[in-house]
Amino acid sequence: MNLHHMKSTLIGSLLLIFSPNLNGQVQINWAWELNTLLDIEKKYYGLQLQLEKKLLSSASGRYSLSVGLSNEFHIVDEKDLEQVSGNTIQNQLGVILSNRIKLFKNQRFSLANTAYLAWSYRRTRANFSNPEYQINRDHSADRHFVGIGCYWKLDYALNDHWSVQLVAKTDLSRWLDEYEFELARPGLLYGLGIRKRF
Amino acid sequence: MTKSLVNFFCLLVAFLYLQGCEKEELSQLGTYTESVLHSDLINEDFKIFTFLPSDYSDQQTYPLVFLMDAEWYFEKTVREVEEMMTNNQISDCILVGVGYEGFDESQRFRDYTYPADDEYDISTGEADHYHDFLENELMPYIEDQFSVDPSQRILMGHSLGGLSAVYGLLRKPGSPFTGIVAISPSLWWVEQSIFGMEKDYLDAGNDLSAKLYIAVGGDEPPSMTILAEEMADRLQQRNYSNLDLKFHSYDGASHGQTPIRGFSDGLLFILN
Repeated sequence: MNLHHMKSTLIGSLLLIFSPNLNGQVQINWAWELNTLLDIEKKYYGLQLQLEKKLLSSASGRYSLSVGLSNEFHIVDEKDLEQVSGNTIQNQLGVILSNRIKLFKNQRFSLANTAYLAWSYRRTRANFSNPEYQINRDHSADRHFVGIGCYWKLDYALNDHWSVQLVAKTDLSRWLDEYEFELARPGLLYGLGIRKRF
Repeated sequence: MTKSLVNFFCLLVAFLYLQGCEKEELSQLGTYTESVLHSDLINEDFKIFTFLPSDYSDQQTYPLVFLMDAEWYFEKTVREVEEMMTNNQISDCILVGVGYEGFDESQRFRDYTYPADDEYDISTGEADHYHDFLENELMPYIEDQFSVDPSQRILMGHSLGGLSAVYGLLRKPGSPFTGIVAISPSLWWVEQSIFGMEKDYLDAGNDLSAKLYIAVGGDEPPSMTILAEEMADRLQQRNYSNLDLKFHSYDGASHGQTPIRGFSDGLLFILN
C-alpha cells in the first residue's frame, strides 16, 4: 500500500466497559465501541461488541494473557483509493498478551498505558454493489491477523464501584496489514467509557 | 567524523558493487538493455527496459510482451520469464518494461487511469494518451529494433496497471494487443466506470479478440476480489466470439503477493 492511502483520520469513539472482577485473577470485560470516522472524504461507521477473558495475570496485574471474541459491523462509504462500499462484518477470535504500566495513580485518578500483542483469526463478510452497472456481489475472507498496539486510559473513580474513563488507542495492527486498515480503523481512537468493579 | 566518512564510503562501494552484480547477473540470462524514449504525445521521458532471449535471432519473429510498472516488476519478471523459456513452458518472447525516467508514483495515476478523478490533487485520467503512446510511439520504437510478431502483442499490468491493461482492450475496437494480463486490476476506479465502458463496447456491436488472463489475491479487499471476478464473469457471459479468458484467485494472497506469479501464469496461459 502506498502512502497515498494513509490519509489522516479522526475517529470519535464511545466505549462502554463492564468488567466484573470475579476472583481477583480472572476478569471478564465486555466493551461496546461506537466509532464514527470524522473525515469529509470518507464516511465510516462502526459498532463493536467485544468480550475478553483474562487467562493468566501477574500478581501486579501488569502482564496478562487473554482470549477475546469480538464482532464488528461497519458501514463504509469511502471516496478513496481501494474503496469499498457496503457492509463489513468481522468476527474475530484472538489471543492477547498485554503489558500494563500505571503512569499515575491517586485516590480517584489513574493513568495507565497498556501495550499489547495480539493474534486473531478473523472472518470477514462484505457486500459490494453498484446498481448502475448491476454489480451486486458478496465477498468473504478468512485470515490470520497479527496485531500490535497500545492504549492509554485515564480512569476517574466516582466511588468504589463506578468509574469513568477516557481512552486513547492506537492500533498498529491495521498498519501491518497492507489493505485491511482501509476497512478498519487507522490512527488513533478516542474513547469514553464507564466501568463497574465487583 | 573521518571514521564515519570511511564507513559511509565502504557502504557505498559495497552497495554499488552489489548493484553491479545484480545487473550483470540479469544480462547473463539474455540481452538486457535500458534506454530512454521521449514521448511527444505525453511530453514525458519513459525509461524502457528490454530483455531478449539468449538465443535471439533476427531470422525469426517473437511475441512482444509489454510490462507496466517496470521499475517495480521488470527484473523479477525477467527471471521468471527466462526460466519458463528455458524450460520450454512458453515460447521465446521479447519483454519490454515501460517505466519512467525520474519515476514518481503520480505518473502512473496520470497514465494508467481513465476517467479523471477530481478528488485527487494530482493529474489522473490520461490513459487514452498513454495507450496512444504505447501504440504509436513505443511499438514502432521497439519493432524497428527487434524482430517482432505483430500478431502476438501482450500487455501486462498490476493494480492500476491491471486497470490500464483492461482499458487497453476496451478503449476501441481492434486493440493492438492480442493478449492481456490484468493482475489485481483496480476496477473500482471512479465508480467502477470500466464496467460502463465494457457495456458501451458491447452495445456498439464490437467483438473482442484476445486472450485475457485476470487474477486477484484471495486476501485482497472486496473492491478488488469482487470486481475482478465480476468482470471475468461478465466477459464470459457476453459470448464474445474471439475472447479466450481465464480467471484465477490466489488463495490467501495479498495485493502485494500477486504481481509476479500473476504475470508468470498469465504468460503461461497466453504463450503456452
